[in-house]
Amino acid sequence: MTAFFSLILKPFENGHAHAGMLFISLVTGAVMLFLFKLTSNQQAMKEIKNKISAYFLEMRLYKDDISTVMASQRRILSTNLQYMKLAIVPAVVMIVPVVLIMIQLNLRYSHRGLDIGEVAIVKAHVAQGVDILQHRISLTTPEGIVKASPAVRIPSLGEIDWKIKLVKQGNHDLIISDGTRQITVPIYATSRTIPIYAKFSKPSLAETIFNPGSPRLPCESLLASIEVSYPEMKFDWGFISLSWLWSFLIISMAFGVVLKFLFKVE
Amino acid sequence: MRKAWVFAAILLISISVSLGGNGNRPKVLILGFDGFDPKIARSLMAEGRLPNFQRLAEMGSFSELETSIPPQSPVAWSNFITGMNPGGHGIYDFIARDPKTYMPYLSTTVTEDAKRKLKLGKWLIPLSRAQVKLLRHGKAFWEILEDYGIPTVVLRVPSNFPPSGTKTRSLSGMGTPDILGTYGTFSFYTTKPYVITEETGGRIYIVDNFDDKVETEIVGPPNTFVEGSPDARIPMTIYLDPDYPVAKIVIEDTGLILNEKEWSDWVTLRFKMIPFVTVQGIVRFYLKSVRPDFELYMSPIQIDPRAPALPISTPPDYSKELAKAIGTFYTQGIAEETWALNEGRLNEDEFLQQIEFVFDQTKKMLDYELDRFKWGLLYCYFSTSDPLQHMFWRFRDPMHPMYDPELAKRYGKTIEFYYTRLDSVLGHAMDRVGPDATVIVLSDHGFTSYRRNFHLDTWLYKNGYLALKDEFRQESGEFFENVDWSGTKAYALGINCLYINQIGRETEGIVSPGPEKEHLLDELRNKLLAIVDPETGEHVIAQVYKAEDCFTGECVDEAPDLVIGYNSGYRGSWETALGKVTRTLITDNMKAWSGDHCMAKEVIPGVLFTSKPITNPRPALYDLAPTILGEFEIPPLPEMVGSDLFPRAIEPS
Repeated sequence: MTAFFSLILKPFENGHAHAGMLFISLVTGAVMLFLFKLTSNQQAMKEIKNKISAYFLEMRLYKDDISTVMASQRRILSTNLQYMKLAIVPAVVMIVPVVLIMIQLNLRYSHRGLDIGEVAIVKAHVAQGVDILQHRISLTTPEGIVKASPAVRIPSLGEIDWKIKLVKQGNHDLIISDGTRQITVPIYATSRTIPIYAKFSKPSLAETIFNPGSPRLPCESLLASIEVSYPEMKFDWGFISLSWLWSFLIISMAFGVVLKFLFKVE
Repeated sequence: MRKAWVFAAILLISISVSLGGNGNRPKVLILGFDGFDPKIARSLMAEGRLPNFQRLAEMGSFSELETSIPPQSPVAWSNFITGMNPGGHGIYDFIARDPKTYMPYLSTTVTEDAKRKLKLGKWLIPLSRAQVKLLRHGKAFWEILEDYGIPTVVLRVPSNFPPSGTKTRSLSGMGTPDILGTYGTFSFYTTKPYVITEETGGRIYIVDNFDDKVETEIVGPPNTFVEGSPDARIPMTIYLDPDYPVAKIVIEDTGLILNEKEWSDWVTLRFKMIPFVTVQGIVRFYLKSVRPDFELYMSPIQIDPRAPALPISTPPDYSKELAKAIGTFYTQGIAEETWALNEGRLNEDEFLQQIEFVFDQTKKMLDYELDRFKWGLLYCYFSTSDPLQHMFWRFRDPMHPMYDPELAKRYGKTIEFYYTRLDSVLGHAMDRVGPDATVIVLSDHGFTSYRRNFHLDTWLYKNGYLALKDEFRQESGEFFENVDWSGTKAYALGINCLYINQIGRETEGIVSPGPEKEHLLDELRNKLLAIVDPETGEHVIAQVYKAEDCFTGECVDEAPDLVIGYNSGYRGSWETALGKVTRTLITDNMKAWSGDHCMAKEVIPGVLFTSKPITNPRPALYDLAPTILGEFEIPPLPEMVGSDLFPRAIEPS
C-alpha cells in the first residue's frame, strides 16, 4: 500500500505537496462517489430527495399556516433520517478505503523533514519495569547531526530525551543503544514530501495498520518506543493555512460535490 | 498586422516600465535609532569607527536634533510622526492622569471593553467588540502619503499602537503591550526562597522541586469571558535530569529541552478562554540554573504575530506576512527586557543575548522590505541603543553610584560597540537603496548619566504644596494613597510632569485659574530652579517649562502645567512617576537602569544625518514630517509647527 502511494505521488515529491494534495483529493472524491453510487439505493434516495423538496415547497406555499409549516418541518426531519439510513451502508463501505488513504497521507503530510539548523527531540520510552538509571541507554549521532543536549532522564515516566540539531542535509541514521543492542533510527533531512516515520515501536497489528512501512524495534529491546519530533507541516492556501487533514476533507468534499453532477449521483 | 503593432507597443511600454524601475519617483529611507547620542557619535566618528555615518554626513549633513518637551520616547516620536508638539498630538509623558480621579493611565492607548455582554452561567459572552484606541492626535505623515498614493512601509515606530493608516504596511512599536496588557511582565520560576521585595517588572513564582519534577503554571491574561475575570492559566511541568544540567519543559503537548544557560526558541501558548475561543501568545524561556536552585526565566508573553490577539499591523495580515518571511518575532513595544536586568533576574550577558534577538529580528525586517523597495517611503526603527544605554551607562560613568571598575572593564565599551553595529546597518541599507535615494537617520533624543533620583512629590510635600492625610507617616503610597487633596496645591505624576490642583479641572482642586495659578507657577518655577543637591553642590533642575510657553494645538488643555527639565545626572524618581511621597528628597540611583534622557531637552539632543544638505542649522524633531512630505512634493498640514529642512527649487503645492 505504501509503495503504491509512493508510486502515484512520486511526481509531487519535489516541492509539489499542494498539487499532490489536490490530486489525491480529486481521486478520493471520484472513487468515493463511485463507491457511493455502487453501494447505495439511488432510486430510493432520489425519491426521498424529491419528497424533501416537496416539503420545502409546501412550507413556502403555506407559510401563513403555522400548523402546515410545523407538519412540513416534522416530515423534513423524518425524511432526512430515512436518507441517512440509506447512506449508512455506503458510508461503512467507504470508510475502509478512506482510512487507508488517510493513513498514507498522514505519513507524508503531517510532518516535514528537518532543515539545517533545526532541532528535534528524540524521545525513547523504556519497556515497563525497566529502570532507565540502571541501564546505559545512549545516543550516537552521525556526521551531519549534533547532539544539542545531554540526555534528560525521567525515571517516573520511563522516558529519556535528547535534543539533536541538523547541521548537514541528507540521509542520516541515529544509533540508540539500550545497553545490549543497537537500534538504527532514520532522520529525515529533506525537503521532499516522502513518508516520514516519526515513531518506532515493536511489531503489532495496530502498528502494521496505522504505521505501515515503519522500521520496527526488536521484540527483545529494552525500549518500547522511540519518537522524533519533526516540525508540523501546514498547507498554505494563500488565505488560510490548514493541516493536511482539514485540507484533505475540505478539498475531497468539494471535488465530490462538483463530480456528483458529472457522475449523476444522488 | 495592426493588432501585432499594438501588442508590440504595449509589450515595449510594459518592459520599459518594469526595467526602468522608479523613474523619477522619490525614494526615501528613514532609519530611527532610539537614543543615538550626538556626543558618542562625534567621538566615534573622530576615531573613524562610524564610516557610514561619516559618509552620510559628508554627502549631506550631520547635526544635533532638538528633541521634545519632555524628551521621552513616546512624546518625541509623536513630534516626529505628526510634525506637531505635544500640544497638538496630546502625548506628554508615558503616563497621563485623569483630573477627576488623579489616577494615571497609559498615555498612548486606551482599551475599551465590550459595551454589552450576555451572561450564560459563569460565562460572559461579549455582544460587541472590545476596542483598542490610539490616543495620539493628528495625522501621521504616512497617512498623508497614503492619501497621495505613495507606497509606505513603517516598521516599529513608537506611539503607533494600534497602528494608524490603512494602506501603509506598518508594524506597531513602543506602546504595544504584551498579552497581559502591560508594557512587559516577565515570569521567573525558582526554588530559591527569595524574599520578594519590590518587583515592578515581573512575577516571581516560588516552586517545589519534587523528585526532579517541577509542576507549575503559566499565568496568562485575565479571562474576560468568565465572571470575575480570573487569570487564564496553562499547566507547565519541568523535568530535571538527576545528574546533568538540562531540563525538559512540557507545556500541554509541546516539549522542549533546554541546557542550563540556554535560551529557547519561540514557544506558542494557547490560553483557553471558553470553548472554541483561545488567545495565542509566544514566549522564550531561559534556563538560568538547574542546581542547586532551579531558576527558569520566561519572557513577557508576546502577542503572536501569526495570530494577533490585538491589532499590531496594517493591513491586519502584514504581521503574519512578516512572521512567514523572517520567523516569529518580538511584538511587545519595548522588546528588550530591561526590567529583568534591573531586578537581577537576568545578568548583563544574558541581557545582551536577549537584545541581540531583537536587533537581529529588526535587521531581518528591514532586509525583507529593502528587497522590494522600489519607491516611496521606508521607515525602520531600531530600539536597541536606547535600552542598552539605559542599562549599561553605569559602566562608562565612574561617578555613577553603580559603577564597578571590574564590570566596566568588561562592559564599558558595549554601547560603542552597538553604535558601530548600527553603522553597519546604515551602510548596508545605503548600499541597497542606491545613490538616488534620500536617506535620513535620526534619534529621538540623546543620553546622559542618571546618578541621582529626585522625588518631586516629596519636595512638594516638604515645601507645603502637597498635604498628607496622615502627617505622622511622612509618606504616601503609590497613586497619592495618603494625599489630602483639600490641602494640596500641586502634585507630580509621570517622570517630568507637574500639575496644579486647579478648581474646575481637578475634582478636589483648590487653586483658582488665573492670577493665583500664574503666581503659583512662577513661584514653583523659581524655587525648583534654585534646588541644589547638598551632596554634589549641583543644580538638580536645569529648566522648568511652562505649558503656555511651549505647547500649541488642540490638546493644550491636557498639558501638565509645568514640565521639569532635569540637569544631567538627575531624573524624576520612579516613585514620583507613580505619585508617591517618600521620606527622602534626593537619593542615589542604585538600579542597573543608570542612563536616561528624561532631562531638560537642551541636555540631551538627538542626532540628524541626511544625505542632502539641510537649510536649518537647528533642526527639530517636528521638522521631519514636513521634510518627508516635501520629498514627495506634498505641502505640510496647517497644524504642523515644523518646517521643511531641505531646500526646494519648487515649493510643494
